[in-house]
Amino acid sequence: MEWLQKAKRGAFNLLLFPLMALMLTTLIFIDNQHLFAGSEESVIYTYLNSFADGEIGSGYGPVSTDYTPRLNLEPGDIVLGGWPHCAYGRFSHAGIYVGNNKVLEGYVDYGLSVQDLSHYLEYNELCLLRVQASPDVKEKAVAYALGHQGQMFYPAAFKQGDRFWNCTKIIWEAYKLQGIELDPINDLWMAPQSLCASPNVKIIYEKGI
Amino acid sequence: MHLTAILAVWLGMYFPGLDLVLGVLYIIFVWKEGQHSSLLLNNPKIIIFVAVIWQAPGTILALSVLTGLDTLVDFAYYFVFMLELWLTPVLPLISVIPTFTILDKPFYYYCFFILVPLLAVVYCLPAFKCKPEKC
Repeated sequence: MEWLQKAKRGAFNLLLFPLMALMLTTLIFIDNQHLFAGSEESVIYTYLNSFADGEIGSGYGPVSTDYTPRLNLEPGDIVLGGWPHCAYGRFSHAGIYVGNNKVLEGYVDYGLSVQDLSHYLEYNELCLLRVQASPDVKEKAVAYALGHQGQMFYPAAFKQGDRFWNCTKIIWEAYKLQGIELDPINDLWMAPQSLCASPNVKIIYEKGI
Repeated sequence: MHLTAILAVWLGMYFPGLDLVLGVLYIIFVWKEGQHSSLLLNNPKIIIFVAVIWQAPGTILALSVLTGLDTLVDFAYYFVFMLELWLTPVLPLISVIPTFTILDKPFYYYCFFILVPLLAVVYCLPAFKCKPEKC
């Protein structure tokens, strides 16, 4: 009977993760039913439509040489950049302006980190958003974001938890903690495109529509 | 098991904490699988071969990033993405390590390259450590 016990143990090891995946998918689906009830603004629909068109990833294209005027940004402003064929909307990347021509953004190899603003000029699509909030609130949001430097970037990070981030989630969380919701549809993930749809932001510059 | 663990641990991130439990379980299962294989195969060379094949995707991705071979293709940036996704089952465990940077890169980035051989070692170790009758 020892072989039976070993076989049972082996089956448990083999089946635990598939069963967990199935169970968690069901739970997440139940928890996000509002997104499957015709809310086509969700990033899930954007992904699925892009996938159907054969587009995956953050897109690609030649570096933009278009003239961009001097950007008068304030700390707390949001910078969005996008390449053509991006699978998750018009914009593929987001950063929060922290002052001195620097943005806090997320990359796999750098984690959440402060980078030069200038690289956004290379994107074919560029959008600058100003959050409708007091300078004090923006300062706190920037401080929160800066406090997470070096933390882990994970492209498919869910909005829950504070150990995995993507470039948009950190901005959303930084403002959410100040009482400003940048995700009006309570989406499953935060994608750069989602920030544009928030009634709490104003577009101050846009290129490449 | 690895592919379904990627999916389960990623979905587990929706319920913070559960991903950590699944990450620990994953390591235990890899160890157990190593024990099981050492009994079944009873040949350390074959077990090493199995571990190498199992971690081949991670090894190829890690080596191409380390050697810069990934930059020869247009979608270079995706290699490190794919490496991170490949290591999803153990990411929760390194996400709890306090963050610090070395040469502008976060500690977790360097872990990507350590974890690929480390997982293979966890699998192979029982074959060298345990005597078959005790495992």
